[in-house]
Amino acid sequence: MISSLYLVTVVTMTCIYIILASGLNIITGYAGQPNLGHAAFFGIGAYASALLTTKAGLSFWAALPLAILITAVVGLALGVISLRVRDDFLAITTIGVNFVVVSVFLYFTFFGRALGLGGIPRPTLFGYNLQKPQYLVLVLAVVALVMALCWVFSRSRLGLMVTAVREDEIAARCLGLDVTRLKIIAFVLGTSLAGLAGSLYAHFMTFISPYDFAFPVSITIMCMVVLGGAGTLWGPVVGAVVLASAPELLRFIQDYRMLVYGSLLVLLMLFQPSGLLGMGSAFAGRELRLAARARGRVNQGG
Amino acid sequence: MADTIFTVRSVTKAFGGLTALKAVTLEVGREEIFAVIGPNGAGKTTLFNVISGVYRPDEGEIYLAGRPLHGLTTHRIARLGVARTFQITRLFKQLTVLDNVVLGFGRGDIDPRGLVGGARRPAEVERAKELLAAVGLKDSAGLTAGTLAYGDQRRLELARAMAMDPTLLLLDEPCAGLTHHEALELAALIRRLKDSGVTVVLVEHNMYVAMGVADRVAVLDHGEKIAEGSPEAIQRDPVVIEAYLGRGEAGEDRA
Ligand SMILES: Nc1ncnc2c1ncn2[C@@H]1O[C@H](COP(=O)(O)OP(=O)(O)OP(=O)(O)O)[C@@H](O)[C@H]1O
Ligand SMILES: [Mg+2]
Repeated sequence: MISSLYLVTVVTMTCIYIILASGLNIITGYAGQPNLGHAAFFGIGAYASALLTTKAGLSFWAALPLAILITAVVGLALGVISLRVRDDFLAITTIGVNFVVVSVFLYFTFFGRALGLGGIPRPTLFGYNLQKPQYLVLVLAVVALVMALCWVFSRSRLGLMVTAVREDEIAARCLGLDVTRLKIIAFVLGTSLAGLAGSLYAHFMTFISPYDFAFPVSITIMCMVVLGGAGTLWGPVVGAVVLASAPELLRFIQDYRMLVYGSLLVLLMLFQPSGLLGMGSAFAGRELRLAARARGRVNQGG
Repeated sequence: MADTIFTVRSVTKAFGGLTALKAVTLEVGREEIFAVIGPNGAGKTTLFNVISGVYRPDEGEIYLAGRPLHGLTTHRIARLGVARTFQITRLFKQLTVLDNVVLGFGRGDIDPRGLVGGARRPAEVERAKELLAAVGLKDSAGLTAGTLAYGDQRRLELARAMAMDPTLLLLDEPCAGLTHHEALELAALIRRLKDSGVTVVLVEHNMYVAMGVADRVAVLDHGEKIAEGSPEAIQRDPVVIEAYLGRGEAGEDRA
């Protein structure tokens, strides 16, 4: 039977994946920039927070914002360097970043090498040490905050501009949009959220190792975004819930997890390539459905 | 010609071995409608791409109201007041028709207030609807841009360009895909734009519209300007007739 503590773990991990997928969604879904190394930023946030608390003696509450800041700075630096290149290069670059970051964690004693870092403290609140169930409440509150931020972003002028960049870069430039800057802004926002997720993860697990942030994790996050519907507010949430919690709760498919993921994605690409909540989906708004249907008829040539 | 507001001076652009523009020089007067015509592959679209910064000129200079545009990035050129449409439409297809126009306002300025406020200010929505009405898309504001018929997509591009409140408007075959009646309406709209203070450079294959609406016409052939003058003079110019008839496509209208 599923113990309640186990359930707490599954829900917390699902929440962390919601934050990760929502961050990637800003970069890939709204801005249209392929990032196949999102887990690297997850890892940077986790390691930063772990080191700041275990080695620098900071509290969780001080380490969390600093971890976000550190991840954002790394995201900014990588964004400035790699977003100048073409989209297909960016995909390759971000994969490379993921491998480099994991290697750094693996090969420097400072980062605990293959053993990882342990003894990461749980946060204390009003002198009270948060255990897993209380920590889940904190994580849920953070998820609510993150979704509120994503909502604000999705309906802001900035969000509209970033989406225009995804739709047609040259047209966006000709309207005066600073495309490079908008891409970098989206990249920094998305990686900051990954840093936040990393910090939450480190202090939940109390122990982290390099492989927690390896390339397959990036792919899993990307699958969540694509499954739920890239460029929609709730798509990444749905994707994260389905892919993070379903295999855990439905134990019988556990052994076939990757098989099920793979089949799911193939089916999705065949029948609903814009994701469960994307254009043309039965779950999407009526207007979007009509748009998708009409799209099939309209000659868009020129 | 009134005082010059827009100058293209000896602009050259080559793609590998193909010289698409050879030392092209144009001087366009303030609030003038200037047509650029020429056979397929003459370099008309390349000229627009070079002016708007999509391509960098290999040589030559471009000035708008005395300011150099050559060497600037595309978005800087746009911010200086150059708006354009595309021969092959480039809309934000998954966005609404209204949002396509709204994105033209402000010339891409990332206003920090835009972070928290809604994507469109009420005044912008009003203005966008006026612009849509002006191009004949009054009832389409809420549609997804990609679902519009081809002619409507071109009109939307025009409305989006107008939203930038440009000093210089570059129109690349705005009448392609329009019926004769629609083309005449568009010609009237272009004249109204001129009257409102916009300088228009127009590439057009529909000779009826180009000759009807333009104050002056330049003819490109194989990347070279072979003639320039009033529409009447151009229509009589034997060099121009030769360039067109030589390939048997005078006044041919293409979608
Ligand atoms: N990006 C590019 N790379 C290589 N060659 C190009 C490029 N853009 C244009 N050309 C070439 O430059 C020449 C001029 O093309 P351009 O599109 O400017 O002609 P045009 O006058 O607009 O023709 P049309 O009337 O068919 O639109 C053509 O030979 C074209 O093939
Ligand atoms: Mg052309």
